[in-house]
Amino acid sequence: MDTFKIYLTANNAGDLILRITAELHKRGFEIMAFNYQVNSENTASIGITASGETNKKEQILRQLNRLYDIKEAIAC
Amino acid sequence: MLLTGSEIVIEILAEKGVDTVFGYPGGNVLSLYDKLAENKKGIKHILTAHEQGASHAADGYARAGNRVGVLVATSGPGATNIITGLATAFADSVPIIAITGSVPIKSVGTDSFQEIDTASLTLAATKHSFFVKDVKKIAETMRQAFHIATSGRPGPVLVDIPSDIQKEKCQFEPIAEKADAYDEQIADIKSLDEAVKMINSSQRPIIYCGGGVVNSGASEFIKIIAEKSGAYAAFTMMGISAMSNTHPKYLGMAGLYGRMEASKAISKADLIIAAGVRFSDRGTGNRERFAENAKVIHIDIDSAEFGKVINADLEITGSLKKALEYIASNIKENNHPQWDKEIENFKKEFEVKETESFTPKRIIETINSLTKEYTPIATDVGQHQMWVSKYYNFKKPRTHLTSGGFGTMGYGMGAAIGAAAATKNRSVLFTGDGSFCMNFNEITTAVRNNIPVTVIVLNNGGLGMIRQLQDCFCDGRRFSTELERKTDFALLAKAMGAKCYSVKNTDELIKAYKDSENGTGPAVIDCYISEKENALPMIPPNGTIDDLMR
Repeated sequence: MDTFKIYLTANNAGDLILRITAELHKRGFEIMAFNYQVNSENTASIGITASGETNKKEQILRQLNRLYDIKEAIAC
Repeated sequence: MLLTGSEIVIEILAEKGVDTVFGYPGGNVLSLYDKLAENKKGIKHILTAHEQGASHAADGYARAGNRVGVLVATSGPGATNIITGLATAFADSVPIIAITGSVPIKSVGTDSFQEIDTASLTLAATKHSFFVKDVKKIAETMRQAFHIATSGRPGPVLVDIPSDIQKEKCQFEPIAEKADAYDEQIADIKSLDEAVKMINSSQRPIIYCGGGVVNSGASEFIKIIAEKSGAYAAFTMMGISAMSNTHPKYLGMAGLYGRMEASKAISKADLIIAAGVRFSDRGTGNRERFAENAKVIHIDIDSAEFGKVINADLEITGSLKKALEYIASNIKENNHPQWDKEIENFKKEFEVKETESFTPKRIIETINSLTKEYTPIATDVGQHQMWVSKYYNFKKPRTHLTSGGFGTMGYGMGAAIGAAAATKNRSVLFTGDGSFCMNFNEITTAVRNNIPVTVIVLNNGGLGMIRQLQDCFCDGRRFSTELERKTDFALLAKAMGAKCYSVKNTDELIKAYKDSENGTGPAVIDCYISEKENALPMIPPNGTIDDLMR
């Protein structure tokens, strides 16, 4: 298990938080911190601190990147 | 033009070329049904017996017809009843649009009658779900839903519209073009050239084909690559209709209940060209030891599949059809006599002996000899599903309809109805007595709508697959898996208005099937088979070919 940060830019859709947290939960990640900031009417910046298996980090980024409202998901 | 929300939904369905929707009415889709009834756009509605049946019918319609399947359901239980169908379509990447009605906007959050948060509930079973709160957003949302369902890796999308929004009016602008023109993601040429190099230098190549091959229309290139490179083709259950089983390079379905020559070939290969597969555990068995002697090229439209189960040596993202077409054009002619010899030996090692008795193999091969090459073949889930995958010769892609990923018992009846509606051909459903009991209510749908479906029940008096697992892994302690043949399925079908037959040998089966073709509606043929018939040999879960159980 490892802790890392994920940064997302996305459309500010009503159910977006639910989708992101569900995807993390489905892939076995635990959320330790979650920050959601609306930048304008249509976009949001999201920062997540999550713990999970290190070898699944790339996988979760790919899964998050394919969610409809996500513009970009990166990790560090 | 000024239209209601319901009228806009129907306009978009017509715009997207939808000619049939499956569904079940209810209080929160009254307005939508009222507009469907006016039939201004010529969209046919097929009323099913249950919303789950509608979801599987839309799925079968999409798979067999190579188009988007559409279903309509009301809020609350109507919506919850379609979730299994959505999850089935999601697991197998099938494009369907589910339109549900919800309680009026002012009632949302008040726990009103038949209220549930459908969009949230379907989140894990769809590619995306929408809750539309403004009539002005309906057209845009519906168009987005079709785009999401069909672009990239296909999948189900849900659009939930409150009943009052369905009745509100707004201006609607039709779009002249019926079909969306999507940019196909083309794979990187450097990666494709690397794949060509790997294939050219391989001595023991295997092409491992998944449902993506069928979905992307790439089946023809599998044959070309196999013939040119000297590779053999193994399949997942979803990819099995990509090549005829009479082709010399065909090895059949690999995995737990598949053809063991296919699994053995994968274990001995030096290169796996994995095309449109997600490396399901049923296909790979012990993933640490899957193709342990091989390099793996993984080609898929969905990059999220890379590294999920198997780490490939080369990952190629993009249109499978374009990628395989490029590879087929650029690989050199090759042959591998030593590999051919080994494969021949694997085939001999696992050859199934012919018998004269009324076995599942005999039944499936008999029906195979009586159907057309384009006949849609649906299955339910269980032993019969494995037997069909092993013994039926699928001659055309999109003729095999089965719940491969989600394993939904009760999928087949709805799917067979949807497939017959899409292709206008008689479809065949192979089912077991367990699966048949899950959704046989949909026979009434086929009777009412005069839909030609012939149901072959492989009746072994039990829940055969789980009974087999209890025999193998619970020291033979059978529990809740014996059905004891106390229900007469032929009489049941007759009571619902279908033709019916009970058969106990091949001659009776041939006579019954031919007679079923004479009618225009559904028929049920109850085939009594021995309970001793099992889906063997099998590789135990998380096992390898070395752990084979016969």
